[in-house]
Amino acid sequence: MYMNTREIEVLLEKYYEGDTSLNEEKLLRDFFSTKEVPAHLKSHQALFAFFNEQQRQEIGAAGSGKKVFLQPTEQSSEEQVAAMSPNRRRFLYIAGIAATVLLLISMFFTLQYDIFKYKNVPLISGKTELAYNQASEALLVVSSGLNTGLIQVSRLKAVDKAMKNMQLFHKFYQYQPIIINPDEKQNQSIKSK
Amino acid sequence: MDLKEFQNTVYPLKDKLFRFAKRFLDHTEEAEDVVQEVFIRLWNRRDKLDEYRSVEALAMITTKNMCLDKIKAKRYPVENLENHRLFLENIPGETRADYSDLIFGVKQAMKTLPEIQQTIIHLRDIEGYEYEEIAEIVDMNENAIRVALSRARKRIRELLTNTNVYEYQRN
Repeated sequence: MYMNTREIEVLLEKYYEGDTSLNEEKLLRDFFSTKEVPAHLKSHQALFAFFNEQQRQEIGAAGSGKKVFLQPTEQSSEEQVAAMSPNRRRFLYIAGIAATVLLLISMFFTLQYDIFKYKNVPLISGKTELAYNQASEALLVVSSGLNTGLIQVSRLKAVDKAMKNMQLFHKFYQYQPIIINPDEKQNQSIKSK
Repeated sequence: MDLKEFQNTVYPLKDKLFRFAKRFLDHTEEAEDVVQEVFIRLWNRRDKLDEYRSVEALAMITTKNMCLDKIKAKRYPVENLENHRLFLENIPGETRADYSDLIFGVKQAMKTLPEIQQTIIHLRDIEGYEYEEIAEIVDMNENAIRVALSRARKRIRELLTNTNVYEYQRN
C-alpha cells in the first residue's frame, strides 16, 4: 500500500478539517507509522504515533496487579457481584470499624457513669430511722397500689358465682348413666364415691 | 441477555472502556475501578440490555458519566510523574528514542483541550467510531461533532508546532 506524498498532503488537509473517513484516517496512521516519512511531514508524525500508542493500551496491562472483576460466571449472583464493587467494599469496611469504635466508646461511658453514680452513695446508711421511714413509705405506695388493683379483681366474684351453677351440670352428667342404665355395679361404684 | 451473550458483547469492550475512563481520569487504577463498576452495573441490568439500540454506546455513556461523577467528587488521586514514566516505558523501543517526548507532548496538548473535544478526538482517532456512534455517546449532532473534532485536531497541531519551534530555538 504505497501512497505518494501529494495524496498524503491532501488527506492531511481533509483530516484537520474533520472530513476524512475512518478508512482514510487508518491510511494516515499507517503512513506515519513507517520510517519513510518526508521531513516536511514529520511534525504530524507524533500525533498519529500517539494514537497508535493509545490504541494498544489494555486493561490490567500496566502491571498494577489488581484483580479486576470483568467476566461473570454462572455463580455470580447479584449479591456476590455487588459485594465486589470496590467502593461498596471500602464503605462497609470503614463503616464496620466506625460502628465498633462507637459501640466501645458508648459502653465505656455507660459503665463509667454507673460506677460514678454509685460510688458516692454509701451502701449502708448511718441514719437508720431515715432508712426505715423511706422503706415504709415505699411499701405504703406499693400496698395502696395493690388495693386499687383489688377492686378490679372483685369483679371476678361474679364469674365465681356462675361457676357454682356450672357445677350442677357436672353433677347432672355424673348421674346421667345411672338414670339411663340402672346397673347394680355402677350404682354401687358411684355410691361408694 | 444471558451469560453467554454478556461475555460475547460486553466483555470485549473492556479495553475500550478502560481507555475511555483513563482519558478522563488519567489514572490507571481508578480507570480499572470504573470499568469494573460499569461491568457490574451492566450485569445487574442484563435483563434490560436487549432493549437498548447499542449496548456498546450504553457502556461508553455509563463509563463517561461515572468518570465525570468521580471528577466532580474529586475522589481520586492524581497520577503524575509515575504516569510519565509508565507512559514512556509503554512506547516500543524503536519509536521511543525519536518520538517519546513528542508523543508525550501530544498527550499534554490533549489535556489542554476542553473536555468535550478530548472525548470526541478520543472516540474518533483512538477508538475509530463513526460520527453516528459518537453522536449517541456524547449526545450531540454530527455536525457539531465534526466542528469540535476539527478544532481539537488543529489545536493540537498548533500546540505541537509551537513546541517544535521552541525546541529548534533552544538547539
